[in-house]
Amino acid sequence: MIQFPQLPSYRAEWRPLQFETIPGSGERFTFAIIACGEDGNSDIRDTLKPGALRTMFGQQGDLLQGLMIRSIITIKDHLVKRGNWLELPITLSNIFLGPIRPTLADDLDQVFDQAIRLSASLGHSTIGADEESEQNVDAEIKEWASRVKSFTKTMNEDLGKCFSRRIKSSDQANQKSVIGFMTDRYAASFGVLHARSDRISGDITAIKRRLWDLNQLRFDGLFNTRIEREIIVGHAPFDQIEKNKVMVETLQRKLSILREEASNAEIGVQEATTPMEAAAYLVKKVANARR
Amino acid sequence: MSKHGKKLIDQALEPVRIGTLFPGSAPIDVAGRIWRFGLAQTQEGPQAVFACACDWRELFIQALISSIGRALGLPVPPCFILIASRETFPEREQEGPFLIFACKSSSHPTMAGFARMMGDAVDILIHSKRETTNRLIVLDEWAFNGARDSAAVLVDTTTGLQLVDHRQSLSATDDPAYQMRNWVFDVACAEMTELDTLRLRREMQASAGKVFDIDLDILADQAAGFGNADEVSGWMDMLDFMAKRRHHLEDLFCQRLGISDKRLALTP
Repeated sequence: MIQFPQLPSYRAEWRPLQFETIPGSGERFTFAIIACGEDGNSDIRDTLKPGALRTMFGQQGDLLQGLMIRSIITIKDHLVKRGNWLELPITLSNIFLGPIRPTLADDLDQVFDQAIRLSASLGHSTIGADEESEQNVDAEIKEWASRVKSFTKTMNEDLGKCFSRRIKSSDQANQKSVIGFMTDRYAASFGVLHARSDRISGDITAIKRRLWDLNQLRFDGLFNTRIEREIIVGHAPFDQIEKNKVMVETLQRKLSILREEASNAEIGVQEATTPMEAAAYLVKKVANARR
Repeated sequence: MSKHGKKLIDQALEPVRIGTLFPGSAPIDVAGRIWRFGLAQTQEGPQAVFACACDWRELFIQALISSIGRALGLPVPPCFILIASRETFPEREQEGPFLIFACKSSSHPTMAGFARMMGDAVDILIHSKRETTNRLIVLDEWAFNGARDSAAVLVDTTTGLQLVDHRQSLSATDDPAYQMRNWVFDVACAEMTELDTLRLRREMQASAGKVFDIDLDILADQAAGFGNADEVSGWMDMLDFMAKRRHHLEDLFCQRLGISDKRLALTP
């Protein structure tokens, strides 16, 4: 008989969090996924592609996104405090929990990937994606940065203007560089590192360009005070990929290369596993710098 | 070029892919038949699929005709034979593992829907998919499928029509009226009243020329691994039928077009 492929062994459950655009209309879309693994780990992730709501609802899209992010933050707090993932705090009457669905995966990260593929038409999943979209690292970094921005703006609205700041460059060939986030004392660019082994060069090359942009601040001469520079890099949590040695080693190797490159340019590396974590770090960083 | 800018491309016959259905799929009622949208673990990794449970005969027909349809360049999604259980496919009340048919969903998350019947999507097929229509006439003539209108079809926003249901093929009926039926051909002829026979003949010739390049032995080799002796024997009979019937396509199309057999040449 033919040997059929084995299913993964990590048991988990997930459910979509849906927003009803007009109360009572029944018109809903999935904007986040909540998942819980057999080991008790639970988490929530937003699923919307950046810009999707603005495309659909214009200016109102930003307001809607703010409401959704507040809901996600509330539920995340609940989960961090080890609250019951089946009884979640829902902040608005037009936010609904979808049905719970079981699955098997390699880790909790893959559960989210599966759930987005099966329930979120406005999200992006790597499952079944074609090669071209899988290798578009720059687009993924932009998406990561945009998500960090959405969460940061919800936490502190004043910081919205600090994102995507253009600076003049000393390089004649490339007169303008874009810094992901910048205040008068702090600058950060964003990057994404994947744990999959086939993307080492793509990930690092894309991040190197961000390091190079950050490096322009050093020689620019516009600023009298020293600016602290960091690259904020998103990657899968190690505890969620620990069962897959190849992925752990690949991610560690990429982080090591990145730290070395950044260190040569005196740039710090800050790791984050979710856009919410990166946003919280930025908010705290700015608050501390003002003291 | 077709409506969506993609030219139909002939390709070699692929072996049927295999996989295992994940738990947690969602049921979809398509004209009283339950399909499930979910994930399958395949040899290429997890894949989003539409799956339906069927008996062994239909399972092989679906897989066989899907593979041939793809080889003819038709918009047929890659198909899989999956292993499932009551836990993963609760509508099938059977103890122990069983095989189901599945086809790949598009690469964009979930943006596809079933038309309940092919007849519901006839406007798209006939008016904007001329090349698809021609090749579908050839496939259905070869596969002895006169009732394409009663099969489900996937309407996919990224790829257009996707032919996913071929269960009416290789019909065992003795009814002469059914044996003369080719729904797609009948509809095409009815719609294209101005079309001269010469043009249709030329198109048939171009579309049908490919059938002799398809190596059915690939599926014969594979079939032995899927079932018990009786089932495998039944599958071999169907393959044999398909292998023989392609040599009659020339006569069949001459009858349909009302021309003498000297004016159509499909043989290799």
